Amino acid sequence: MKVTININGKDYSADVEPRMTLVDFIRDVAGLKGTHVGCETGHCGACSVLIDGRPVKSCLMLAVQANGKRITTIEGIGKDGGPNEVQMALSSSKALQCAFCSTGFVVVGTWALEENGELTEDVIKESFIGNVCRCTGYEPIIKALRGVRKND
Amino acid sequence: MLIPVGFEYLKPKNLAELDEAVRDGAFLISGGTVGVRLLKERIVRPKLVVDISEVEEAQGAKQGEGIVDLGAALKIYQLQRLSVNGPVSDMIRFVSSGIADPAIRTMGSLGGNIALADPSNELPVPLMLADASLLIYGQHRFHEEKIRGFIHGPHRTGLKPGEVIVRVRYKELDGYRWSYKKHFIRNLDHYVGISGAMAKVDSGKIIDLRLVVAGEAIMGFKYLAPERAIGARPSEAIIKEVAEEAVSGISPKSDRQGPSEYKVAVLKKLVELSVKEALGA
Ligand SMILES: Cc1cc2nc3c(=O)[nH]c(=O)nc-3n(C[C@H](O)[C@H](O)[C@H](O)COP(=O)(O)OP(=O)(O)OC[C@H]3O[C@@H](n4cnc5c(N)ncnc54)[C@H](O)[C@@H]3O)c2cc1C
Ligand code: FES
Ligand code: FES
Repeated sequence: MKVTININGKDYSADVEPRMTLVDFIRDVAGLKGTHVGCETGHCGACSVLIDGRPVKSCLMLAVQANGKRITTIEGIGKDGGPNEVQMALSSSKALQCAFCSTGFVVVGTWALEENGELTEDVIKESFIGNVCRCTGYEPIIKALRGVRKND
Repeated sequence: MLIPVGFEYLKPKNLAELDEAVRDGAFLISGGTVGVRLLKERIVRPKLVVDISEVEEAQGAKQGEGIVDLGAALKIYQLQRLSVNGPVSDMIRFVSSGIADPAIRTMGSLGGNIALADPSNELPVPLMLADASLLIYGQHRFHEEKIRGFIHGPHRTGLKPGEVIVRVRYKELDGYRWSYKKHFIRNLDHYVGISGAMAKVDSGKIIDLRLVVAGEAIMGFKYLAPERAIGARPSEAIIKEVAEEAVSGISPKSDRQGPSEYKVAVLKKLVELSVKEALGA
C-alpha cells in the first residue's frame, strides 16, 4: 500500500505492507535510526515520536495509520541548528549513560516543555510515566530537567 | 520487525464506507494501542484490518437538553479537554487525565476503552455510574444499548462481529458529587483496584448513591446501588457497609500483584475512600 509520511519536514513515500509498524517505517524506510525499539508493547517509551506535535508510541502504530501525517523524530528536534533546552539540560547534567532511552525522553520532554512552558517536578513525573530508563535512573533525569523553561 | 501475519488495511471515512469495508473475519482498530499488540502477538490473525478512527459519525462532542453525546472515535487526550459541563463530564475529564501516559492518551480512543472491557479500562467506570447508552452500528442498522448490560465480563461485551460503537450518550447528574480512586503497583500495569462513586445528598440525607468497582481484584466491572444507604445520613457505618457489600463474594487470584487478601483489602479501602468523598462525609 502506498503511504506518504512527512518526517521532520520531508515527505517519505513508499509502498509498504500494512503489517509494517511506524517505528519500522521511520528506521528502515526513512533510515532515521535515532528512534529506538525497546519493549514493543507500549511500556518503555524508547520509540516515542511526535505526530502533529503530540507524543505517540510508534511501536503500537501501523505505518499505514500514519499515512498523510506530520511526524517529528529525535533527528527533527533541536533549536537553531543546535540542541534545544531539554537536550542541553540532559547533556550538561550528564543525565544519560547508555542513552538508549534518551531519545524518547527528549521527544516527550520537548512536547511537555511546549505544552507547559516549564518543566516542574510534577510536570516531569506526569509526562514521563511511559518512559523507562534502566541505567541512569530517574533522580538524575528529574534533577537535570527540573526548572527548565522555554526560551523563545 | 514486521507483524508476523499479513493483512489488508482499509480506513473508511463514514458508516456507508464501513458497510462496504467490513466482511467476515475483519478486525477493527481505532487507536490501535491494544489492537496492534494483539496483531503482533498473533492473538488475532485477521485477513483484513479496518481502521475506524476517521469515521465521521463517530467524531466530536456535543451537549443539549441535559444530554452529553460523545463520538466513540474521540481520543483520550480530547476527553481531557472536553468542553461539556456537569459532574459526570468532570469525572470523565479527571479519569482521562490519569489514563496510561501522554502518548497512549494521544492514540487511544473512547470506543476502544469501552469495547475492550478490560477490568483495568477506566472510562466504563464514570459511564456506568451515569447509566450511559451506547449507539451501536452494524449490518446497516443502529441500536442502543446501556453500558451496564453491554459489558458481560472481562473482555466480553455485547458487540457482534463487525459492529462498532459510534456514540456514547449520558444524562448529566446535576447536584451529584463524585470520587474516583485507583491503585497500581507499577506504572502502566493493570490496576489492583478501581472505585468510582457518585452521590446526591440533600438536607443531610443520602438521596442517591452509586458505585462501580473494577480492576484485578474483581476481574470485571461491578455496579452497586446500595439501597440501605438511601434516606440515611452519611456515616462511617454506612461507608463500611457499602465497602463490605462491594467486596462480598470476590476471591481474586494471588499473583505478582500480591496475594488475594491484599487485593480485597486494597479494593475495600478504595471503596471506603471514594464513598466517603462522594458523600462529603
Ligand atoms: C501501555 C499501556 C497502558 C495502558 N494503560 C491504560 C490505563 O491506565 N487505563 C485505561 O483505561 N486503559 C489503558 N490502556 C488500554 C488502552 O490504551 C485504552 O483502553 C484505549 O482507550 C484503547 O483504545 P484504542 O482506540 O487504542 O483501541 P484499539 O487498540 O484500536 O482497539 C481495541 C479493541 O477495541 C475495539 N474497538 C475500538 N474502537 C471500537 C469502536 N468504536 N467500536 C467497537 N469496537 C472498537 C477493537 O476492535 C479492538 O478489539 C493501556 C494500554 C497500554 C498499551
Ligand atoms: S518500544 Fe515502543 S514503547 Fe517500548
Ligand atoms: S540511559 Fe541507559 S536506559 Fe536510560
